[in-house]
Amino acid sequence: MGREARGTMLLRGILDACLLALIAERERYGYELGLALEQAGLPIVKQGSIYPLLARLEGRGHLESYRTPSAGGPPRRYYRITPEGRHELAGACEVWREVAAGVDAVIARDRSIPPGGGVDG
Amino acid sequence: MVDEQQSARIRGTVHVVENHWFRSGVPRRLRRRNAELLEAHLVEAVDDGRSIDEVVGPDVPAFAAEWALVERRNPVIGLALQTVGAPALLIGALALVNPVLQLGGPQGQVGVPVTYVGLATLVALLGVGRQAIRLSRHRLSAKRAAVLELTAVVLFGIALAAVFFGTPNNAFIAMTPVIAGALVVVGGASVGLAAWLKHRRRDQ
Repeated sequence: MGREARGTMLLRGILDACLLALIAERERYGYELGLALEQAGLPIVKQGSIYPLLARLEGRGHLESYRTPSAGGPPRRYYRITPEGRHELAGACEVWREVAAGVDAVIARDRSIPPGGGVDG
Repeated sequence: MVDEQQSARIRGTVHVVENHWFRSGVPRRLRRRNAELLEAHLVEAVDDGRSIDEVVGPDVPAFAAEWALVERRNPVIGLALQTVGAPALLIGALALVNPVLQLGGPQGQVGVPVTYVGLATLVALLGVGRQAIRLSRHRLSAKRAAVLELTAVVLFGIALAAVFFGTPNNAFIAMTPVIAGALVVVGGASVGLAAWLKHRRRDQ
């Protein structure tokens, strides 16, 4: 499996929590969220793939959105987290920490892998 | 600033996506809302020197399908209801109007020629097949989707020929008005429920 494909596959299960975490920091709109994920180094194949997730989170009541005009451009839709969303985020963080700790513990058993993975590109 | 050519490409991309949503049964209110979201994102991305592909990927209908699936409530149940309901409604309605239109069978008999049953079933199945391909388009490559659609059309042609040439001319299914009416009611209710599910947003 290619590096990018593995990254995308791993991210698929946690991307909604990443979006909730970014929106929990402050209200954001779609393009901002895409940029923030990229800047964090997450391997997003296409920026637009966040919208189905945002729609799902909104449908479940984890997010709310409102439309606001922007200076010199099309209107923007900002997202804000709901109390249900914060609860969901807390649960997702807990699961993530458990899984990440478990994976780290297993991977660290292989002493041939240097810290950071040691794989180029 | 986005120039005229880039602006035309953005509008073209949004149009392709909106068209896919329309054919997938995404309600108009959501189509407009999401098209506005996508257009705003594309304008800002292009303005920042990014390509349209970076936002929607190289396969625009697949991107549209992925988003459409979230905006549909119980798409598989809707599809199943449509599969059962559409032929039942059509066959029941044809059976009821047969005494007036005299499509086949004895004079004044409620019922339907077997050829019409085959045709109604085929047309309904073709519609359902196309809808199923649209719903799962994000899991298919453009080439595989095209091959599937072509296969469906070829199978439809073969089945159509079988209905026309393989059914005896006078084959007729006689029904009582109660059975034909029940088919209309059950079929209509199924199609109605499928349409209601199709136009109701997920989780609302």
